[in-house]
Amino acid sequence: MPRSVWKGPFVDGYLLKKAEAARASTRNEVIRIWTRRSTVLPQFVGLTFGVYNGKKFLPVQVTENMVGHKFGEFSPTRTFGGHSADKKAKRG
Amino acid sequence: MGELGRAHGVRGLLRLKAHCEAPIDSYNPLRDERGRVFVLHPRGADLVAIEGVADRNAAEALTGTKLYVERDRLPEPDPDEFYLTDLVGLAAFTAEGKALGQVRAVEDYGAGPFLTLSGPPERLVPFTMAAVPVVDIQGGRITVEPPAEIEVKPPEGEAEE
Repeated sequence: MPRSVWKGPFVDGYLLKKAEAARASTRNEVIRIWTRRSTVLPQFVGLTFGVYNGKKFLPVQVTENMVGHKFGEFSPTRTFGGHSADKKAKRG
Repeated sequence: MGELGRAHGVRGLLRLKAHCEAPIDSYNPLRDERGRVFVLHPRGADLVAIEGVADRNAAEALTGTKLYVERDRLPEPDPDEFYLTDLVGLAAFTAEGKALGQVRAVEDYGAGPFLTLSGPPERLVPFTMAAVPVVDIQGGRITVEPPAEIEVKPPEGEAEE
């Protein structure tokens, strides 16, 4: 069995505890985290995190297809605003 | 919608830096800042031919031209979908009427769109029904219910390296 499989996904323990508490409440809330290295787990689906990018906490709404990725992947540290043109945003 | 780049070849083709999601020729005719009209025909990945531009000299004169389309020619978006150009600039208020500034940007890095409100203080608000229940484009305002923020700091001695 490869080492990465038997070790399992990495998540900071304190985040896991806090996310489980947040799941119990149904409030509109953002959980601010610094742990960009933690893996997105299935129990985080539906929660919104504010992931620090060195300057701001960017809102990350966790969906099923993000499971297995790291939080840092959704909070870029170098950004370019781009052009709006005909781009659209869908309200979740 | 896009910007014309450098000339390509001797038959009046130009490079195009398109900013739109739909093919740019679906918005024909386009206009520039001076009101000149352009009809574009794509030629490959990032090249366009422009009606009335047949040689390199004419094409070089157009380098750097920015192309626009009137807002009312954009197709109607789906329900609960909004053009970024409509959202940017809207005034943000809480349900109690407290001003939160204007929408300065709408960004999406793969984890759902969020609004940047100018404040002060600047706020990043997820673009969800819970956080932004009312979007009134005609009225030029949105109603925001700023989400509660919980900080989850690493315990002492467990700081990330």
